[in-house]
Amino acid sequence: MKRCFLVILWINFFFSDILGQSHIKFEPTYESNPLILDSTYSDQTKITSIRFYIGHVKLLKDSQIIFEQPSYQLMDAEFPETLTIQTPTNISYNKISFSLGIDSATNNQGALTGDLDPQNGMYWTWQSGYINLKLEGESKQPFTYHIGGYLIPFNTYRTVTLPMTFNKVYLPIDIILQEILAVKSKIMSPCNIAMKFADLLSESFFTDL
Amino acid sequence: MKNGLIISLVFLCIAASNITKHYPNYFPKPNYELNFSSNTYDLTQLGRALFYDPILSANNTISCASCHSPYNSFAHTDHALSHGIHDSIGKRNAPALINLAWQKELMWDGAINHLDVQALAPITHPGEMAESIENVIDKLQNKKLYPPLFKKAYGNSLINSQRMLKALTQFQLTLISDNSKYDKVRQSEDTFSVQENKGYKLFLKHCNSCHTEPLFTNYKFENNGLSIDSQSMDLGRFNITKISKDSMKFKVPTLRNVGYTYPYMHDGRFKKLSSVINHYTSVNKEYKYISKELDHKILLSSNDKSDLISFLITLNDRDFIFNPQNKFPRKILLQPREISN
Repeated sequence: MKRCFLVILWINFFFSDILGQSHIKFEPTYESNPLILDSTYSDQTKITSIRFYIGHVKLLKDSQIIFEQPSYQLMDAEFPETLTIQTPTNISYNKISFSLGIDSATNNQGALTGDLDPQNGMYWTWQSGYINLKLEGESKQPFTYHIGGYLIPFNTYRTVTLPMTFNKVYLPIDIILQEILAVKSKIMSPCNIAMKFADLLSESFFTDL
Repeated sequence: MKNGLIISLVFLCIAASNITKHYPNYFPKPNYELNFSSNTYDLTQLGRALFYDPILSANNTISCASCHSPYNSFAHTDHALSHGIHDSIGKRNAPALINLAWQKELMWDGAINHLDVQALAPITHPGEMAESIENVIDKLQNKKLYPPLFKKAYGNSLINSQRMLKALTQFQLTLISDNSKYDKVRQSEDTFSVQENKGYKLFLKHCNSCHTEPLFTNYKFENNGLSIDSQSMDLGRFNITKISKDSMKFKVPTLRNVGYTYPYMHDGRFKKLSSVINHYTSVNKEYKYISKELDHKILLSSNDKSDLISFLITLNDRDFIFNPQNKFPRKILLQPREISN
């Protein structure tokens, strides 16, 4: 099964190259497969929403930056096209670096638009600041995680650097949930536990199956 | 040649300072760029219309001005706690919206970091305007009045949250109060009475470290020894930072227009200035994180208190309160036939 998945990945990788398009896809997974929203998994868990900001994407060859996209993109599993970052073709790289969430400078810039429009529901109106990641669903009981905060000591902005073989970055939701559900089922403001969750999230991204 | 260059440079500086001068030279540099030229007139008017239009609330009954009235220096007088949609009562006293260009954090607890995004809080608060940002934008797009106003302000009629919020910011930045008797005295256009002068000296001794002139606030968060409000259990700045030393700290409000902005304190517990002064002369210093500025005991005779109040009244800016440019924009928001009636 895993081998078959890898083969599909390879085919996908080559075809996109031939067609003159290249991209990096962020793929939330559950039990080692692409996450399907609103589907009840064997562990009685259902994910209804996963949305997060990815920014400052850099593709590197060793330590040299080959491609850089400083803007932020709101990724939403409900709209698979949002999970993809377009990159130039015919570049070779072996490392990716990106941020999970919105940095402090951007948080202080006032009203922004596009993916950063507060209308997207990823902004706290009662206390300024972007929600870097929203994860909602139920696992016996409902859970709601709104992870954000840019002010010290609760700055939940994280930078992730990973070796890059294929053009996919995976986020294993099942493994993350296992850890966080044991601690808390609701996080909805900048706090200590949000910081721990941000650490957990940034350490959970991986690039090779 | 060199002299000519210096002269033209000096001339340029004078010209530039004339263009950008929107406040007295004894004010510090503002945190926001101020541009009130003819280019931004339409943006200001759009912001003014939005400020006074109850369209921002769920049932179109509450506008920004409902709790920030121009006659009260854009505060909410006579109500300890401001009230919103369906007569719900909030947990705090609406502060005066003046000289916002000099503020760093907004709200009593500094929850909001930029004037642009401040309006999002009351718009979406279930007890204030109870509306979603999405709906507000939708309503603005569908009200005949707004697409032309956005076009005038921005060059095209696109309406989005950023444009709405930046227009509100622009209008609020124009709310500069700098023409009180205090200001006239500073500019040698007037003089304090003997009593006001005594009050000013007492002010400098006892109050100025937090209510620092010329803006009459240091914009810091301080614990002034008030007991916690048993209804709201409001911990102020602690709610934002979660740091225990910030418990019961609230932002030092400006004292400009203090005569127009009663009641006082974050929860509006004092109706009169004399009650505020009596609080400071009898502060309970048992509180662990009380402001160090209150370490020394404030001793004031009843004459001193009257003198201090007479000085505080010199901070009232009547020209600002009655400035027609700050008021409800009848020409924009009322239909022509309603005006002629």
